[in-house]
Amino acid sequence: MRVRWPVAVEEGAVVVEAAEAVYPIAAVHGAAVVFLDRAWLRVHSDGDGRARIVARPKRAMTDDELAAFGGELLNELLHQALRVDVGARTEKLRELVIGKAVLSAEAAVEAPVAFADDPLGIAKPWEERFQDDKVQDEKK
Amino acid sequence: MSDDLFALGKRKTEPAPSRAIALPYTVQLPTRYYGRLAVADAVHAFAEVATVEIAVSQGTIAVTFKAIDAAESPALVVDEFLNHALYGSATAPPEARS
Repeated sequence: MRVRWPVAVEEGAVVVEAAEAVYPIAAVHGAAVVFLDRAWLRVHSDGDGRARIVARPKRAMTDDELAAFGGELLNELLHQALRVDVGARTEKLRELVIGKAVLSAEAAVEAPVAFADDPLGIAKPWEERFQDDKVQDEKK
Repeated sequence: MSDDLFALGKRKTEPAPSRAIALPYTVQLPTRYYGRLAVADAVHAFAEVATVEIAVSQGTIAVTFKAIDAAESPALVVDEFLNHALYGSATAPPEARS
């Protein structure tokens, strides 16, 4: 067994230890989903505040490759933890933006603009719109 | 062109060697990471190839593989089962993880 904490290589598998206080469940799950197509994963937790993720790659790997694979998994864990943290911190802002968008859409539905109203004058023919300019040009 | 040079451009994709397991084989899964419903769903999905029993106790789900009827190695079936259960647990809504 080769250990370079928190990544340990043992018998064709790599074990990554993660503190449960640092890496929430969603981060472990997120990292697991990313690696499911490349490895067989198992998550252990002995109630000591540490999760042990055992990854057994689906293709044969040397010990060095396994250690690098464990490093990738650790990086992904960190990435997922950050994603969860940012998601939690921006939750209120996201709710505000979505709420505002929904409210403005509802207001538009309550006071619809009929096609015949044409508040921007789009439906007016070109000749009518620029008739005055044409008359002035002819006078000149 | 030598074989060594040719091999540089080819990625080795040989599968990992399978390991031997003795049946019945029990795995303890922490309920913190594995949902009971997701594990039960995996049992249902693998019903044709494996006879699996689950027992939920305080903080763990004990998954016992009684028999495995597959052309592949039993360990591979166990590994695929656990991946399936983990994926189901990860993608389940929080209220369904109990």
